[in-house]
Amino acid sequence: MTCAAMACRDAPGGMRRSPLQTVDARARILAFALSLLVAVSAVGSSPLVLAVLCAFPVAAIVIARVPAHMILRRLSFVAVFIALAGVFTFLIPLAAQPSAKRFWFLLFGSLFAVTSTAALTYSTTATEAMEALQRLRVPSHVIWTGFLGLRYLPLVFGEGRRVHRAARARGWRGSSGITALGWMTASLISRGFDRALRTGEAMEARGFGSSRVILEPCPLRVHDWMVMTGYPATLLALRLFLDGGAL
Amino acid sequence: MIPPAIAFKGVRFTYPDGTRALNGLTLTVKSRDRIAVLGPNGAGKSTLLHAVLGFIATAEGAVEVDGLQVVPANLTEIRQRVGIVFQDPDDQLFCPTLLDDVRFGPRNQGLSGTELYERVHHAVEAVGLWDRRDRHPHRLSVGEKKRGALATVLSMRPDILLLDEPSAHLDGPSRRSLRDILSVYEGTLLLVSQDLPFAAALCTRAVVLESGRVTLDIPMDEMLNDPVRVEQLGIPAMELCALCAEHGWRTPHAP
Repeated sequence: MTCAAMACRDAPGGMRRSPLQTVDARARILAFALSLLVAVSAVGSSPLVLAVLCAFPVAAIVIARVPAHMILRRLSFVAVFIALAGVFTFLIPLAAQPSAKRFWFLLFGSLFAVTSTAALTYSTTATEAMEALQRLRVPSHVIWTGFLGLRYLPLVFGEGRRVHRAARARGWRGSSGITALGWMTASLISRGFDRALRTGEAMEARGFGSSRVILEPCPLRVHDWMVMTGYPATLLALRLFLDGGAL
Repeated sequence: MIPPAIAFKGVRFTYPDGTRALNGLTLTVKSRDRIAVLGPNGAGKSTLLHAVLGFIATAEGAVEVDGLQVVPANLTEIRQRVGIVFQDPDDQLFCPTLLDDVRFGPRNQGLSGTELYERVHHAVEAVGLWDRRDRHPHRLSVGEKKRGALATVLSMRPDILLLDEPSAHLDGPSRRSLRDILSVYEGTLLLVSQDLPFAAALCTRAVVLESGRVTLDIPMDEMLNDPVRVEQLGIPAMELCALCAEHGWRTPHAP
């Protein structure tokens, strides 16, 4: 296995490759982004059209072998908002047809976004995504800012928990002082800045920003192109057909 | 004449809050020297390492690496030759997987393909983490993180290795494991530590720093046989005796 293979098309360690993982990460990312645009363009469509569009990412998560519990967990985050929207749309007498359309879009749009994101993130490791974004000429500072944010979130939460525990051990309770809460938050922010500075130094010490980085040639194959263009194009064509050609 | 690996020439540095960290520091590190920089908290030990890589702008004096003055124009070149392992490995491990972290440096050096793969494989294997290569660094134990951080630097094959408190927060087996990895490193080693037994196992020269200046610069075995100095560094006599027995050194007299 070469580094090019590791970077370009390798499956995450120990994971069984799904058919979706054989597609280049660039194709997956672009197909995902374009399909979201198609979904957004269907804002005024009927529930039937929206449901048909949702069948595509559902098929993608089946192909990507995403476990059902992962989808349900993600859906549970938006389920509350959708349920609330349903209550306000259908149970309040003032509800009118346009807001019902908005509700269906919210429902199917959320389903579309959650299933699409699950299919993409489950089949694409962070490493693959970073490599793919680099190859798509996204500036390295933009890529690293996003990924470092994700990398350090667990650390910040961990520090927050430790600070909170230490404060409670010394008798602090939520109701016993908003000032202390402010200090804790300020301390977390200050530590976050310190850590950012040190990480920046660590990156510089290892040559970050060097123009010497070589991206090995990794051309898209026929089936990558087919997925990247075919998936969103089919979605768009179907939407136009069902909506009678209206964009 | 071959220039020294690192030369500090009367370096002074004060932090913005007024803390004077380096106060006329003068020190010469020859190529392949293995030096332990010892001293109390706030003596300027970590600042000294940061000065080598140009992370701080010294107010007075000069720092040179292989004859190159540490100035912005030379930093890229200097950072190719010098590797640093920070005290907190979480500062050093920032990629999605350990393998990515180890690849980061060599890729920035312009390596690719088989050469890059071999470098990465060798470094991760050397620290005994090949089976953990796809793990998120956040999920590693402290000892594994320290070894992982070391691998990120070893993969760049630096001529000079700077280590900031590498044994801090490590248990016995992890310390031994780290010591064994570092003992086969053949380049110039500058180790900042308060852990004399660990430093003594790796270094041949001891430099004591106090208030930002060098107060002692002697061979390590001489240091170990100076019980008053060892006592001043706060090393328990029992620990030192055990270390001497392990390495076959003469046991120092009790103070």
